[in-house]
Amino acid sequence: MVVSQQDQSIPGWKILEADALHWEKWGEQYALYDSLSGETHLLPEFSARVLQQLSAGSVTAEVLARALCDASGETCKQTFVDHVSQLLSQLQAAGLTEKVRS
Amino acid sequence: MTDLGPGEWDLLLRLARRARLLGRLASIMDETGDIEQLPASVRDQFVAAMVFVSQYQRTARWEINRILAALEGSDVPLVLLKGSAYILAGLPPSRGRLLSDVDLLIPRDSLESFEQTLLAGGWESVKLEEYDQRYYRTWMHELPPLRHPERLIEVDIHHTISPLTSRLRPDPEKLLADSIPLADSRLRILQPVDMVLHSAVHLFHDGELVNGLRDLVDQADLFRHFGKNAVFWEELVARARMQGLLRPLFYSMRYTNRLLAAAIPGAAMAAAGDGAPGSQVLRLMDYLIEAVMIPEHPDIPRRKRAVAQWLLYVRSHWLRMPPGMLLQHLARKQIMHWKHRKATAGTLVQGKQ
Amino acid sequence: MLAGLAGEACRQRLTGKGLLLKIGPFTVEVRSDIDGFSHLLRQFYGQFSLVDAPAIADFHVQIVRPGGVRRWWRPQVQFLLDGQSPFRPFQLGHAFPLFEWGLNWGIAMQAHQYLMLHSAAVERAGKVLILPAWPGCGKSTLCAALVSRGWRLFSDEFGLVRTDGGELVPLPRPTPLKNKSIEVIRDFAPDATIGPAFHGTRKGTVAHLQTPDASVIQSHIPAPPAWLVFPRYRAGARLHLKPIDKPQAFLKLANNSFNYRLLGLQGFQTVTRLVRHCDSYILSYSNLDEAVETLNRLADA
Repeated sequence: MVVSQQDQSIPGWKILEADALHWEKWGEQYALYDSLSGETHLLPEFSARVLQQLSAGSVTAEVLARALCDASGETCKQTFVDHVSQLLSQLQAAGLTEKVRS
Repeated sequence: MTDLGPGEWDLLLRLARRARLLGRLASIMDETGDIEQLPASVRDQFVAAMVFVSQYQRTARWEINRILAALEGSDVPLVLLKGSAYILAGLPPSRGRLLSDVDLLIPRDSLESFEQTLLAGGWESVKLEEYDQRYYRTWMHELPPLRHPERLIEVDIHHTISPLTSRLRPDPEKLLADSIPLADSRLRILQPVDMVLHSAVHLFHDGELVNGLRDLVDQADLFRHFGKNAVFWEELVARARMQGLLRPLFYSMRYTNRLLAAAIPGAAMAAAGDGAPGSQVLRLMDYLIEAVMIPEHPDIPRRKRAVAQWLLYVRSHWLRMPPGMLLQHLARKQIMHWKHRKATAGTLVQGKQ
Repeated sequence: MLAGLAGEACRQRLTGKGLLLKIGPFTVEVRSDIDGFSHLLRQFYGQFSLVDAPAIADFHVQIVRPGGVRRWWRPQVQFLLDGQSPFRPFQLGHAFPLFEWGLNWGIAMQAHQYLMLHSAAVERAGKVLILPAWPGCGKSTLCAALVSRGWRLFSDEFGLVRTDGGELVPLPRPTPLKNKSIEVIRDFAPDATIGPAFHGTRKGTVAHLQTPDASVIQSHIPAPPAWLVFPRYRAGARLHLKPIDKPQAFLKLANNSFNYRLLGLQGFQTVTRLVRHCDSYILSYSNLDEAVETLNRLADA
């Protein structure tokens, strides 16, 4: 899943450092060790996919949502985009994502 | 070093641990690749020490990361001091270091808004007795430390490097003005000569000297690292003279040379000698420094050391505040200590004997 | 072996240069000026090897009487680790439990060459059963019961996990039994040697179960983990061995460990490896016999 578009006027999201995240898969859950913060997180599949997508490069919430929808063959509703936005903010509070600095 | 006997290793490890240098010793051996040839128990203790080193370094870096995130949009220059500076700038004293706090220097005018920003971001003021809070704010050169409840490392915010009531009054504006940005330009460190002077002031006038060996090692490291540049020594003395810090510089050069065999150029040592105290005071300082800085044998504490410790404690406070205030402060501290002991004495009595 | 030293010789060493004991992977230097302690040390650690001086010790422990007024009035005993006293003194009669708890503390503070689980660990057929602790879970009692039925004691308090390879390292020590457990184990294993009871400690009444000789003799032999069983003792509860999924086990174990966070990435990887290699369960029980039988069957399956 390659995300190529970027809307320049809306700040994108990124993970802090690509090498810092260490993943272990347990069935449909993921354990994540963040070597920057020293924190360990247990994440559901969806959050893990969002983070792994961000590891490929920074994106806006909208573009990310669209890419996820495309990958599952569904139409992208605004509520879904909002959901992704909210998730990115939650991940930010956990120290896993940050907004790209202009 | 690899040909030490077990008894010697045993003592060395104990002393290094007490002097907070075990991490450093471990890192050095790890770097030179000798760690594999060491006796198993030594290796184990080194490995364990390096676990602490990694943890503390990660903790400090992350704390700075979170502070920057909280300050998003602010343009307050953030100068890192001491351990955090050594670590983020990759300087030799960062090797094997066990940090405990993050120390920052910011302009005095920015103090209040900075503190407010961090408090709003979830940091809390470390609970201190009301008296200590006042002591910190009015007389020391720091706000009471802040700490984020999820992370527990202390953040000490300074606006100068010596207490307001001390006789030493280095100009913080010069320190800020001459600070150097790091790769992340939101972060800065002191210029080399100021870094050395800060460490010297901290050790010889601010700190309590008793566990000062590690700080002295830092200074020796900095002398060796920056001293390769010939111009450094002249600038160092000139800066010390200008900032009124010749005395701590003199002590730093003298004791890194005497205790740690640091190579200090004769001309620099002579020039710093202008800051030397009278010969009687110097003799006393030589005695005290040797008594407390050299780690004592863990099983044979010397009475001499206990006396020296007390003298140095009094001295360090004397340097921070006028005598009248000092007496008041020490008396107050002693009362608090007695009160605490009285309060806890009850719990020492256990049921029926 | 410590038992090879006569009582008087033992006492002299303790008051002089100290005794060097091999306890699991650790060399512990012990000094003490307390006769009663010397006697109990010899009783409980008689089968443990002495190390010749000079040696590199991992811990330097002193069990000594503090100076001052408390030497004579309600006499006390202090635990010193490398010359420093981390706790308030105990009453003199509790010197031995103080030594045990103090040494636990020292290990937890320092032995970060291992991932340290707060758990009991016992071995059977070359594989280790880990019993992680939580308050009231009955870990020590269950551990004591298993050991008296032939399991090898690795530890009742510390799961020492090697960060390279994931094996558990034995650290057999006297097992402290508290309050009702003392009677329970006396009934369960009438042949087991239980030491004197210490009343009025911070944990109530404590007595120590002697470490079986075989566990001490084999204490240099590590073993891989195979089962992770979270014990849950509840009076009157029906026996139930419930498998739990790995993410749950991972979470519980990470939280259970003394130094998971301190170890950083290595902690994460070590716990992950452990959980991958083990079958994980919660064991609810009230009857010790049934619990032991269930765990025997688990091991023999």
